[in-house]
Amino acid sequence: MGTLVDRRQAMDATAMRRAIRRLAHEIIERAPDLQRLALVGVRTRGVPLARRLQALIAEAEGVSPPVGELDITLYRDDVFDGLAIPEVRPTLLPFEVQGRAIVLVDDVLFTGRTTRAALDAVMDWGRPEHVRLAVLVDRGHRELPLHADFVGLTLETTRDESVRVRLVETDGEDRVDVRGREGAW
Amino acid sequence: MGDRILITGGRLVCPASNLDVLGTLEILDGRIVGLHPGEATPGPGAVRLDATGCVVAPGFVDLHVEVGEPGYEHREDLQSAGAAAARGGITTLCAGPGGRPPNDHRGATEYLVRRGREVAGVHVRPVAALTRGRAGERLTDMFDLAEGGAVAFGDGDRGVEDAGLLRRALEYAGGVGRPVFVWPELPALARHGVMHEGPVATRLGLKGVPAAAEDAAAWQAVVLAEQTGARVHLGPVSTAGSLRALRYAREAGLAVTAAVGAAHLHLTDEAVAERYATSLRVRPPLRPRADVEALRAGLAEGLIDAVTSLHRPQSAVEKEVEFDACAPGMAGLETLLGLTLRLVDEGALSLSRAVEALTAGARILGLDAGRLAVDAPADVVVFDPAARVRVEADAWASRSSNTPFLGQALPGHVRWTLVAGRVAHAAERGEGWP
Amino acid sequence: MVRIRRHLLELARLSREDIVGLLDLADSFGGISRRPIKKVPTLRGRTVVNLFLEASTRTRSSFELAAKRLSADTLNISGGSSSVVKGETLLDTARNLAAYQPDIIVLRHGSAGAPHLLAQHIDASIVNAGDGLHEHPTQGLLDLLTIRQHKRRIEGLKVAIIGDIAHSRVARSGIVGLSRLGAEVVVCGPPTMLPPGIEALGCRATPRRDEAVADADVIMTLRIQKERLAEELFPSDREYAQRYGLDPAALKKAKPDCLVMHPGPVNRGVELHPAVADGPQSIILDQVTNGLSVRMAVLYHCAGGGEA
Repeated sequence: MGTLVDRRQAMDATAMRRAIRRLAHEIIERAPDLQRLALVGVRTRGVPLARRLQALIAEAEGVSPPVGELDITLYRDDVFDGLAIPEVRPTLLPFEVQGRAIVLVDDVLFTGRTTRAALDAVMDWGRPEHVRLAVLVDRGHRELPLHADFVGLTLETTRDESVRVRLVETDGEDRVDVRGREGAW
Repeated sequence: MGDRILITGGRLVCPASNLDVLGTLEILDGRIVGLHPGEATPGPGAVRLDATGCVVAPGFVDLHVEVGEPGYEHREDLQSAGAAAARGGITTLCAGPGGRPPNDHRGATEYLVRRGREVAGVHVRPVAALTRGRAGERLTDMFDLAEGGAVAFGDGDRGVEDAGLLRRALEYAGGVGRPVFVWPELPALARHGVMHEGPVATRLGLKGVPAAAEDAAAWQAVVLAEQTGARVHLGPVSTAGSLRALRYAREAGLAVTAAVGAAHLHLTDEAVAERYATSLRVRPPLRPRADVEALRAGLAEGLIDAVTSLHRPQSAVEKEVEFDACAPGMAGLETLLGLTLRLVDEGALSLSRAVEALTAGARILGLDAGRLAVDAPADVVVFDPAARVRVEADAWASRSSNTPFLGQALPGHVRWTLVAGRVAHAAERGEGWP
Repeated sequence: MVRIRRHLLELARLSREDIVGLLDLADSFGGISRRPIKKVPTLRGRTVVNLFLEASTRTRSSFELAAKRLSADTLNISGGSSSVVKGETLLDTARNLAAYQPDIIVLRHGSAGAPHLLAQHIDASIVNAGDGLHEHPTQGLLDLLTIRQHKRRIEGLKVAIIGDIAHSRVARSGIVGLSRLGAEVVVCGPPTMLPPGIEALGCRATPRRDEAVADADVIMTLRIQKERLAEELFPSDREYAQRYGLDPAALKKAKPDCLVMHPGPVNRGVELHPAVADGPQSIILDQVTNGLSVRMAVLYHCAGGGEA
């Protein structure tokens, strides 16, 4: 197998900014009560995305929904593949989950397994009124019957490609690339 | 019988006869009848064993052997012990008193002698118990036991708690004309211990036997040997402290001898730390490096007379358990020569001294054995000191394979062992073999 | 395909990095016990056997709860440990259990090295829950975690361990773990309870309590077993309490913010004065809480073997 190389850029910084702004407005529109809204970022890149959404919602509506951070390592179904010990980081939900309108925030929606794990994790903290899912990129190839309620960009990909999201907060720049194996076009 | 056997082309090594020469050994009717330096002409019809490249030495005398019989035949019996001994070049084994029942009465002694003669293939010399039931309370009937064939008295691996009793035992045994084997360990100091007391035992959380348990017992035995003038054999010793007692005995001209287990010249207590291997639980316990070095020097110098297998077979049932629950001991008949020759390879011992240490038991016990001389019994071993033999349980004659040396290649390949002129072990057939 | 099993046999085999990794993991598991649903599905479908062949309520409960909070199935076996008495050897018992294909066997046993024996013969991850006088690695880890939480560091702390060092697996794991993480460890007890060569584990030894306690950041006291009276390791518990027990006066010689620890159960009035055991410097209950986190981390770590 060749090494992963960039095949095409799917989003630049401007496109990302617009997509996130649109996501924020969709969340506002569909929220029954902004006072009960909470954003929960899935580690790692879901967390800064959630914070950006939080700022945009506050700017537009004057209400800043709380942001939680979710580590789903302990809920994964592939946690023990391979010998390396996965890093378990704390989950921080600084609000009562009970009765909240939760929006899970993640960078990429692919097979749906991460989302499944994240749902289980949230449920262990209490019984929310509902949970919706916001993702920056939906690249298809679902293995579970899940869909995103809010999608920044729907991307056509092949199964063996990978989608890399880079954010200023974690990676120093905002962009999304589709990557593939060298020579395996 | 009646066949003349010639062992040709070998290096004849006999420290007791001050002999180290290339030549031919001639054997007839169970006795050595000729020692011929250089090339001898074999007579007609002779069995000829080509010992080119080999050492021809007196058969080894092993002072401390548990034969398993009677009572522990699942570990070993006289037949398997005898076969293992012959495979290891040992022609005389001293059977310890620790059977079930113990060898504390004449019937038991005579059983070992008779059964040994029937099935062992090597000479079996019983060491009878010093006290009844090896309980350290009342002396055994030593005259009777000696007449039955006991070559020495001792309570096996049990140290004598009562110094007054030991004194009387030494005095009495002197009258019988047999040496007393003293296991140098004071029970009160050794209680609960399963390995040498020191940093390794502390780290492993195992209870220790302090060196002082042996040192004090060795000194006690030496002092009582001086008091009584008795022949005392300290066996086996394992500490530098015992050597100080032995040096004192030597300088005082006492009739004190000593033996050391072959494994104790190689292994240290540190080996236990690897994985609590139960094959390393032995008595006396494996000691630290400094003691091992002292033992090697003491053996080379002759302060320690003899090296012994300390053969103590144990079945897998008794060893595949927790370290502190396992039965102590190591099977050693078939590694005795290899471990002794390893000392020669390492420069710790001369070959001549090695052979002397392997045969010193004859002198300690006053047996007619342990020498290559005209008219001496033809107890002879022929081994190739350069060949290496891997220690493999499947190849062993012993019924037990509780040894930490499994898989290791040890120097010395025994090609033939002759006991009273009969071939007790042959790695290959000789020329003119009947 | 050979399954690589991860064991936890002793802290002596762990590097500083291994230990810190387990402590970090335990820290993150601590949160689970503060949630409404104190359970994660991580070890769902895995089987943990608690084979406790020596009396223990605390450690066994802690391991059991740790396994349950990770959603593992647990099987608890208790009994006497002597092979001879039972008529069945430890290996036979373990082989029978292994026939159920457990992922982890947690073993408490009265013989040092018993977990090592299982690790050689049984196809399961072996976790040592205390073996004879050898080690009690999860206790060692929970002590480290508790100290680290209170002091924010281990390195450079002076830690005194007072009691029957010779007969304590808690002391051995403590010394090894603390010294590996850079603490200065002093062990203290009557000379009959200071085993030869204990310094080689990474500590100093002294028979003088006040010297051990002086300027200590942490004092760990050990349980005195009255059975040791029979072995003449100490003449009376009265004299022990006076000379080696930790009372308010002795504690004053330590640093003002010195922590007091004890692996439990406490002999009040012998090794620990009640005023000290219940005082503000005592963090004994934090040890219990952290025991759970540490055991979750250890089970998680050991379950994570892969195929090679």
